[in-house]
Amino acid sequence: MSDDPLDRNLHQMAQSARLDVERGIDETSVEAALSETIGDGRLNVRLTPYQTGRPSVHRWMTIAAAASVVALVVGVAYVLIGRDDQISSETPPSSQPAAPVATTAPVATTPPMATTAPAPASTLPAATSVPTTTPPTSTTNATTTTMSLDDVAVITSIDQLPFEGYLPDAGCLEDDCAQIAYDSRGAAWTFRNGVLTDHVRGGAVVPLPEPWSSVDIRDIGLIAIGPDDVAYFWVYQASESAALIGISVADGDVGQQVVLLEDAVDFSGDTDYVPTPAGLAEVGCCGADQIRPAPDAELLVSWLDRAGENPPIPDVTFDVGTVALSREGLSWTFAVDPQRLLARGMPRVTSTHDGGVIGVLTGLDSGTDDTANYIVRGWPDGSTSVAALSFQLFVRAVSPEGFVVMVSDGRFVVADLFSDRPPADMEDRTIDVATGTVTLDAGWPAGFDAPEERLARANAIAGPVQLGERRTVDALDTDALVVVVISEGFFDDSVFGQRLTIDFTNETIGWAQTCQPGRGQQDYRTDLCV
Amino acid sequence: MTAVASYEALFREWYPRLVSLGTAMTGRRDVASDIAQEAFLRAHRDWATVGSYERPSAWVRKVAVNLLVDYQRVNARERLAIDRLAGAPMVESSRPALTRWVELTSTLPSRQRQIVTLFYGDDLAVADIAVLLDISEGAVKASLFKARAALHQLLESEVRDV
Repeated sequence: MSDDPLDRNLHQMAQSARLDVERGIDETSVEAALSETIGDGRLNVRLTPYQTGRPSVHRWMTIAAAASVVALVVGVAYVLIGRDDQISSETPPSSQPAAPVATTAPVATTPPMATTAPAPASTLPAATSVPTTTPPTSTTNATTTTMSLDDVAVITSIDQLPFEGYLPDAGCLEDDCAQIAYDSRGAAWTFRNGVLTDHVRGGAVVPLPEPWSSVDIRDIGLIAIGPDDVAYFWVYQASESAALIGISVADGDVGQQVVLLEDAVDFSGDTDYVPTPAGLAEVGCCGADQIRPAPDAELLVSWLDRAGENPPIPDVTFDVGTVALSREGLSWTFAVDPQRLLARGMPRVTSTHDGGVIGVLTGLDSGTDDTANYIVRGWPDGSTSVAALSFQLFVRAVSPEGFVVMVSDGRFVVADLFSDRPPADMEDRTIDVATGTVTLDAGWPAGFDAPEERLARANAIAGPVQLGERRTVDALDTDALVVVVISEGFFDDSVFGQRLTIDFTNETIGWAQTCQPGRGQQDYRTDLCV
Repeated sequence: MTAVASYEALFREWYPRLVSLGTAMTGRRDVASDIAQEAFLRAHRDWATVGSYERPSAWVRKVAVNLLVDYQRVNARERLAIDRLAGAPMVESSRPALTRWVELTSTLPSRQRQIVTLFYGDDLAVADIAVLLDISEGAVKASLFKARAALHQLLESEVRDV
């Protein structure tokens, strides 16, 4: 406080006012208020590693797996989102343990999976799809289909892929690749050199606070962008443990450290940390857990937003025994011998905006020239598609739009491996310029009950981010019943920006655009640019 | 310290402070008590996470301030009507220092009132207030400057009137 007499006076008045109130709060009233908040006196406390100091090595118990199966049979749909947004693009030096999100060498000796011959370079390899044919299996109300991996052509060149877009300035500089993650709204974030970059909301950057900003890139890894608007990282500490830090990416306190859990991340194996509806859950490298994350998976952190609420995200699980992905009552089974897949930890899996799933299943002997990673896609109608990528085409992430992200020429490229099906975010739509409205040809999608889901859906309706595009996705109300998506900076000599106003209550989409200088209106209207 | 004990210790230390802060901001002890309790309820519900933070008190205070700001935003019209009818905010008359502060700051826009209360009453730095209110430091400084000028003028006019 300064020595200014006015400041001193105001300080004294304000302090006196507060003391006035505090003097009126006696011990009895505090205890009464305390008992009201505690209720029956039981705290909602879970025993998590950070509460016990040193994390225990998580080893899954047979009884937990059995409980998982029972729970599944009785229709308890359990959920989680996969590791799509957990990418460690750097392989730590051999003197260090593998990062918990990195895929490691196989442990089994099963022969490599047989694959069909690579498709000719000039031919766009078509993913294989099958209609819904098989009856539901274990999950109540689930639609289950099967898809064989045996007859899928392996894509060997990135030139064979249909690009959907780029993430500018975010790929690799020599061997130094940025790490990439998608948040629950479907926005892509990259991390490199102590800086997070948001590639949807205008390319904003979030420098990490000290000392984390100067940590060697090999000693820090982006785990996930939580639905609580916190970016979670592991930071190498010792041979078998790492700290977990959480950095806010929310407007207002962006860049602030909000979580620090010493020795919380288990480096003793290939433990994964997976975003689930409840929080960041731990998935052990191995063991008896058939459903991953297990229903009783330990939470490293719970999601809490600024208002103390738990923001929901879709639920996705992977059944390692049946090679099935599940999401909220739907399941998609891929008819492959699980012994032929690398079954450690949690595969990269994410929910897609259209109500389906996409994931990456790693074949055994991953890393050799003739093996592939399998991109599996579950569609909302229950059908499935599969594409196979040569290991050299390392998938950095799968996106909620249903795309895969890889690196080419130092840039992240976004590719649609299932171009024989409408992408999740690009369903056919008709723009009526006269009325300034957009119609989704397939009709208005069902669901999307939560604000986060509506924001993600609005972002998806706008399509994948194009080269140079700056996009904002803003809710006009706290429930996100009306969401405005503005995309600007297109490489287009006529149109400068597009605005979609998506009304989830009335199921309408308003459309307007603004033009490049000299090519039409400079504000948003329904007139076409010239 | 157990989780239960740590929560209760936090509550006993910070509940009165949050109530006094809220009362100084709103002039309403009942509202401030409700909001402080709500903030602690949310902390209690997720104590496994909140209790692990370096400063759980900061989390609780942030939630409480967010709720106070929401309250003032939602109740702006109601408050104006009450002020018009009653001529002054609802303040406990038995607390002269509180009454004095609330009367003085009631002339300020709600954002400025929040900021001067946090700055002078809670001894928070500009940067901390910016984080708490989700606004830039520049916005805090600007509001503080305007509030000081207004309060200075008000205090001087009171002296002249006397």
